[in-house]
Amino acid sequence: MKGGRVDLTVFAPAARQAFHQAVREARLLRSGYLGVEHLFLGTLLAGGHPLRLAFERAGLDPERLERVIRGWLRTDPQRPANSEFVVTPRLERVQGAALLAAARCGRDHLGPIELMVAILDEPRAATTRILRSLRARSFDGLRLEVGELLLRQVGEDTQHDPDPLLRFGFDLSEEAASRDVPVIGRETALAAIMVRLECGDCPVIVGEEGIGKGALVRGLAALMRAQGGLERLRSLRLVELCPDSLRLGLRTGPPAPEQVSRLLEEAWQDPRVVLFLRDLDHLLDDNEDGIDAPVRAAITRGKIRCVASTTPGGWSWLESQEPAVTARLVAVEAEEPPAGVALRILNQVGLEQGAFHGVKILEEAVRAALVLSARFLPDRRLPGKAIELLDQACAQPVLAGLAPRQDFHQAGEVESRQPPRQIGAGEIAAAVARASGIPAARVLAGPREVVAGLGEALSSAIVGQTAAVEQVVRAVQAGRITEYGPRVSLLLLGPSGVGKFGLARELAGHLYGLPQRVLRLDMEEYNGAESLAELTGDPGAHGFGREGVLVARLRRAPWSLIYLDHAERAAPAFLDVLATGLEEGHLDSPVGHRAAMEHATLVLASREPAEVLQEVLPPRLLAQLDATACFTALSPADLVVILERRLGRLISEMEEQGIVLKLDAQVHDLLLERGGSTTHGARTLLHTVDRLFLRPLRLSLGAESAPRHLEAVVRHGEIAFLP
Amino acid sequence: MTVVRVEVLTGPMDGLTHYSHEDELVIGLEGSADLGLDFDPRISRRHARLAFREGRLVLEDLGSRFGTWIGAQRLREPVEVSAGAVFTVGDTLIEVLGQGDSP
Repeated sequence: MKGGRVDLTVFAPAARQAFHQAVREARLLRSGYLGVEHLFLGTLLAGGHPLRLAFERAGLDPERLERVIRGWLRTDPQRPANSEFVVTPRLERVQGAALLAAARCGRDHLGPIELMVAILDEPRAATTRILRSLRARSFDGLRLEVGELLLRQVGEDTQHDPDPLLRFGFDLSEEAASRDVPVIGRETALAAIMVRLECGDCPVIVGEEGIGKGALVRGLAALMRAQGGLERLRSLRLVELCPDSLRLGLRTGPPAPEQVSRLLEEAWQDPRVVLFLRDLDHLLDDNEDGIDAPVRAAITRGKIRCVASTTPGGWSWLESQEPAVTARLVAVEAEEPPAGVALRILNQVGLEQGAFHGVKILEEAVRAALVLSARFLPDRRLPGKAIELLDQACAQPVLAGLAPRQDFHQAGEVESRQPPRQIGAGEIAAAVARASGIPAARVLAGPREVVAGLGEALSSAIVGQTAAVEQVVRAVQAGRITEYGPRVSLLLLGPSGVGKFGLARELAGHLYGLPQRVLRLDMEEYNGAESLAELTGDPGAHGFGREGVLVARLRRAPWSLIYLDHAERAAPAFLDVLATGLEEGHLDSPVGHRAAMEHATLVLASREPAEVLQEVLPPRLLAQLDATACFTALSPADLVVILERRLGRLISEMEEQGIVLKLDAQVHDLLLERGGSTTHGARTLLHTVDRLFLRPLRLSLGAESAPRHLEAVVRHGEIAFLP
Repeated sequence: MTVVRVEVLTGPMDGLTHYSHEDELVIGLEGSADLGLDFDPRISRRHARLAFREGRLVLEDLGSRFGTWIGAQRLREPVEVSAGAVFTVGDTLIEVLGQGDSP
């Protein structure tokens, strides 16, 4: 594939960092190509404080923009898994334009500002279209702001900033003074941090991603400035340093470690400055640029005033790898806020988001974001995951306009002509559906609604198994119904080809909205000594662990039906782990991952009689099963029904492609005659349809001038398709 | 002379502009079409055609498997389009450029 080219030799170091960050974004989002949208994200980061300020002055919150653009890239249909990584022609063009902008200012190397100017000048870039449709007027303002930055750069010696702290960081106290940052429901945690600071300690906020550690620190800055606080605290200046802006803010000049030491020394000399070290574990894990050494030295020598943040995983890594550092710090645990607090936070954020996106966020939407994110995104934390849902829902009309099969011009026009749109529960459900892969209708359905209609759906889909279907339906109805929906574990027994897997697919379709949400594992392939590791994970040597297939699936798609075929052949050790998983509601992998099992449906299938299973399966596992359904052999009459349905489906599939297909009555007879054996259930019949009907059909459709009307007839004992 | 000009708006070939000096432009796979979009798995060999017919620019689907779309509407018969129109072939969004548009 021919793609664009990027010449890194004309990039100044900060622009090069923007490029590397863009590559990182593209890889993280599994884009399969590097485009202007990735470079926009990288440049926004590498441009540091001045560029972010330009966006803010134009009324465009950079963090929110990043979320919207990442959300859009995540839903991009063109994410080939194994394609070569190409640079888009538009990106190559942006590079040329940036170089031109630099040349106009008398420079032969381009920096992040030149890159951003060129990106904003590209009229058909996705980022331009997103920015324009979000807020057309702000976009023009933004171009002016960034253009001005470029002019200001001319002649300015970028190596000697008046305030080096601001070259690498963000003054949170100044932000708190300029706008109202409310502190919601975090009073206890904030008080703990303030006390630590007052005692001269360095507190580290330890909490999961998405619980709002950054917001907590912004709240701290606001509280420090609040009237009635301690005089000493009020004079403090809280400056945020994050590893990325530190790394990317470094420009030409002395070596990086030297610049960082000087910066830390200056901060230490000024008794009013308190640094905020975001993601401390990343900061100290970075030995490529050498910026970890001065930070480590400052902490271990006690020559730093700081608040830091990290995740529980990051903190335990620090404890094991950096004991000298952690000895100097005090961990303050921050929990995911309870639903009531999260709701108050969301209400506040919702107001800001509504203003940003120019929409009205209804109260029901805020509630839905809270409830549905808790329900359908169980592996992420509040309030972060709910905030992301709200942002995605608000930006959806813009993003849908950028997707293929939608006319974005139309979307843009609707946007500008109509009074502010409203975001309700339906929009949030759609965002949940995109994030979780579960259809929106299912997202909004209550647990009871899911169960209703199950019997009808299953019995119309599965032929000749009335008793088995009834047992499954009763098990679901009588089983536990959690707030997430029904939860059952089943054992399906019966000869091959009678519809065990078909029933599982239908069940998945009903419970999760999509029949594809089935993970089918053949236990014949997992009966060796290695199989437990293959399924749940392998800690491996030298810390290079491997994730098991089952745990990986449950972690990425907790809403799945797990179908274990030939269950009697499974390794006993695995069956034990499975039983524990069902009892506790989660599977722990040896790698240290925990996968929720409470959203999954487990189906064990076997061709052996019930007695054999009773003997082979551990009693603990048997005790967890809600029902055993026995499938019976199919009768010749069942086969006739199955054939008619299969052919009926083929005809309607053809119709969708604009082809009219008619069948002669003899075709049925021929297929039944050749494939009517019930030894393997319906399998022989379906193979016969495939061999004698479908393949010749595809051949006649593959011809250059394929006819739009076809009739299937029997000629000389074969099926032929006549136009 | 009339020239048909288009620009790809999404995916790995984002920003690719193409113009044909004939009065028609076929989109499909390399070797069978003027504009090859081989990276898109939903593109047919000869997928869609933009052509001048009696002074009008017309977009037509050439019997592709996944169709040619304008917005959410699948093209059943040729339609007239003008500069600024956006359509989808497979999973790729394409804009029709006017005569004076810079790439």
